[in-house]
Amino acid sequence: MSTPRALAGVGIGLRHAHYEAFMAGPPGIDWIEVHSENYFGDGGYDLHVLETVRRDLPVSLHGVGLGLGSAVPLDEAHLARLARLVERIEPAVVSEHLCWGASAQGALHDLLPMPLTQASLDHLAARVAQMQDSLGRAVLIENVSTYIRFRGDAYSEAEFLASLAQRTGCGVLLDVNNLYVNQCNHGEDALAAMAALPPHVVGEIHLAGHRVSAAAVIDDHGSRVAPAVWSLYEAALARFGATPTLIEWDTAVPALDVLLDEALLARERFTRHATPHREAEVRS
Amino acid sequence: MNSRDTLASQQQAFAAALDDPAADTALAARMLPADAAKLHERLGLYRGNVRAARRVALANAYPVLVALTGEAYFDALSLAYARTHASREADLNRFGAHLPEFIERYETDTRYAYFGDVARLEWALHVAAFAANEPADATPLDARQWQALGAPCLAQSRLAVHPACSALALRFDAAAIWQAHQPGGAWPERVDAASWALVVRPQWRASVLEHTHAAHEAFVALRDGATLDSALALAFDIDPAFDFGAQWRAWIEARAIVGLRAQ
Repeated sequence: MSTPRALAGVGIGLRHAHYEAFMAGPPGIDWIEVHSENYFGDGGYDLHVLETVRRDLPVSLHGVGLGLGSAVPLDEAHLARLARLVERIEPAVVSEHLCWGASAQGALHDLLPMPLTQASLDHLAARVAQMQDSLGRAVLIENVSTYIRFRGDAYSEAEFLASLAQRTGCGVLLDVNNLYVNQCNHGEDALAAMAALPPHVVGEIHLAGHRVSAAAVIDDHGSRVAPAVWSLYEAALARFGATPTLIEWDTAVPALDVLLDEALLARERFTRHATPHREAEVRS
Repeated sequence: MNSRDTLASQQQAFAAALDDPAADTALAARMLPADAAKLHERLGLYRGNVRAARRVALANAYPVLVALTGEAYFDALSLAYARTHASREADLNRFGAHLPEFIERYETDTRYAYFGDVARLEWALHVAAFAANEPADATPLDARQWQALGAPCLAQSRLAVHPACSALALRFDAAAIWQAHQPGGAWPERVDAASWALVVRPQWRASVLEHTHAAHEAFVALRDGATLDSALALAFDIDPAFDFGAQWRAWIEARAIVGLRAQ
């Protein structure tokens, strides 16, 4: 197995709508991210595209289905399919979310919020270890946007992630838009959240658009990055250094040019504000 | 109660509320925002997400069924299906596997009894898209190599079928209905006739090859490891006029048969 190339600079998500453009040659970005589950098949066009694109660009595999925090046992077949994909694609980064997604009644297919308690931390630490053992590598765990919190929370999400990283050797995928969404929805201070994360644990940053509704700010990944989130991104770059940054866009995916333009806006800030990135101290 | 039970019970209560908004009140003591109306509204966002994710996954696998039933019907179908068939796998791409049998029970109007077969065909197409690109343990042959094999040797051969292939025997003419929803397609004169279809994936795009009954039985026998000779015997029993030459060309062109099985 060759050594996977590290992520550096600014990437975008590889989505169906842009397969043709990618197959014609790599666009002007530094790396790509995909949702791991979309490439779990034995073969077919999706996998063919990913295997073609990875020859030119490093890949980040971002899982949305494992539900590490679920109290029910992990879906081992899912984990095995992920392990097979990791072997096939040799990604630079493998990530999942700080969430749960299944009950005894079955999978719910959403990134559901965890109670941020000692019990959850013990549970997540065991699950992250299981995932890392199964893949033979460290993973990044992403902070999620939530619409509710638990009254019994003993940690902020950032404190929780910092402890999780310390216990398991995992890194953190910091979604700056999610910090902003939670700041709006729960009055949590996004800058304080960044301050609670040791600079060396953040291995990737996500940027995305959100939607403001009467009920809550909704993390829909369906528009350009908001000005307030760009400001927080600048603060993140100052604290965490030149961390590989993804423009995420999942609903109403626009023309590739729009994504590339958004990536350019990230790159300007990346170049202007970042101190050199300290490699995430994660097990390799 | 150990910590796992607590987490499990919390998640169980949350999952119950995702199913039934009336269960929200049971969560109010545990969750924020403290305002009950606000909490109810926020939990509603999760209910919407869960519902939408399942619906999108089903619509993605069953585009013709969506066109046949209409959006509102499909919304209700998705909900009813999710209630009856809890998703056992974390991979949403596999969620719709039981929809064909489900819709046959769900739709009681016999005029729409063909929905089940259309769904069966669409699921086979969905699965074909992610199937392996080559069969395991097979020697692929090109046109020249098939030719060079010679008829006597070919007759005794066991053939390798492409992993994306599904041979379907259907009560209705679902292939004609599916074709009608492809560009330039027209609604068939009748749909209430038994039909046989082979889902193929010549390269990346899965498609449908119409089979005769004889072709279906021969293909199924080949898939299950019969020699070409014995597979053809089955076909000629059904239809003495079975046009093997034309069928063979169709299978080879569609890459339904890709080579010889490893001995």
